[in-house]
Amino acid sequence: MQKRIIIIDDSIFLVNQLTVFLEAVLGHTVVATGNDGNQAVALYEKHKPDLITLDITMPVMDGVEALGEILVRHPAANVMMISAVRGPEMAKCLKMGAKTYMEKPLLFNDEQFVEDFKETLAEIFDN
Amino acid sequence: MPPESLSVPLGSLVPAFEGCVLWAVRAILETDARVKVPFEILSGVPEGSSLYCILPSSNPNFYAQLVIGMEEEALPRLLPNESDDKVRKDAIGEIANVISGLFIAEDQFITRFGYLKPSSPFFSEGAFTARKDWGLRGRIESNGQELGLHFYLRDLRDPESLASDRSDSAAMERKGSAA
Repeated sequence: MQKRIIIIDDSIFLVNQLTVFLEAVLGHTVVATGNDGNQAVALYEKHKPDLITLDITMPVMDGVEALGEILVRHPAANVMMISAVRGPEMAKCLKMGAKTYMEKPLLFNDEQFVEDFKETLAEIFDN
Repeated sequence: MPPESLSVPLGSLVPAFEGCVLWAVRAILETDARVKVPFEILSGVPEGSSLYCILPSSNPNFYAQLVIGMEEEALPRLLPNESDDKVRKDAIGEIANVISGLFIAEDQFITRFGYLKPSSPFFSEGAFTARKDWGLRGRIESNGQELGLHFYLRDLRDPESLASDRSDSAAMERKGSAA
């Protein structure tokens, strides 16, 4: 089933790649994209998507803070953290309520990655 | 010689750094990459590039910079499928993000230096104003183009590192005045 998704990352390169992947490969609709945490919060309020992806290290407001802001207003929000940051930030985001955490680099041409990503989305949307 | 607090642990991390670099470049550029100049511990300002992508990370005891040096004119050849120069630079920024994220999460790295919090990458064109810190340095080749990779690390507890800052700042001021 087609889902409405927002992508937030300060890298246009990653936003473009992920948009193509989510739309052309997985058949979902990317309703908006943004480059920092402030935009993430505003776009979530505007679009109320089925899923929002958040980078962690971003200017203005980072992804961890944006995650907190979104979940305060929308505790049931489906948030997927996508970041190159490993370590304690990962556990912190999951504890705060992010549904999952994907580590960069995203291997869009790898079959196993595609299957794992589909499975992760299915788990999020089925719950 | 690098301070002892850095030389031994940095030396043991050379293979891990090389692995992180090759993995990140291959994954993001979706093409092969190989080491052109082997990675080793060196000090000094990186040279030979017209564009540098810099990603700082730090904790109370250590300050690090991952630096990727390249020729700006090589970007279209490095990323032939991208027509927008801003997007090409973003891709280099993503490479820096991934290398830094992977490397500073290595168990060996965390054991010796602790967890460093990364910042966003930024670009410096022309002269690079890095201080004379010690770090890992080497060069790789991908899509026929070379990239210089450096990981500088400074022990903030070492008074010598602060002395280096002051002398570099003074030298920069004199250079600016002369210009």
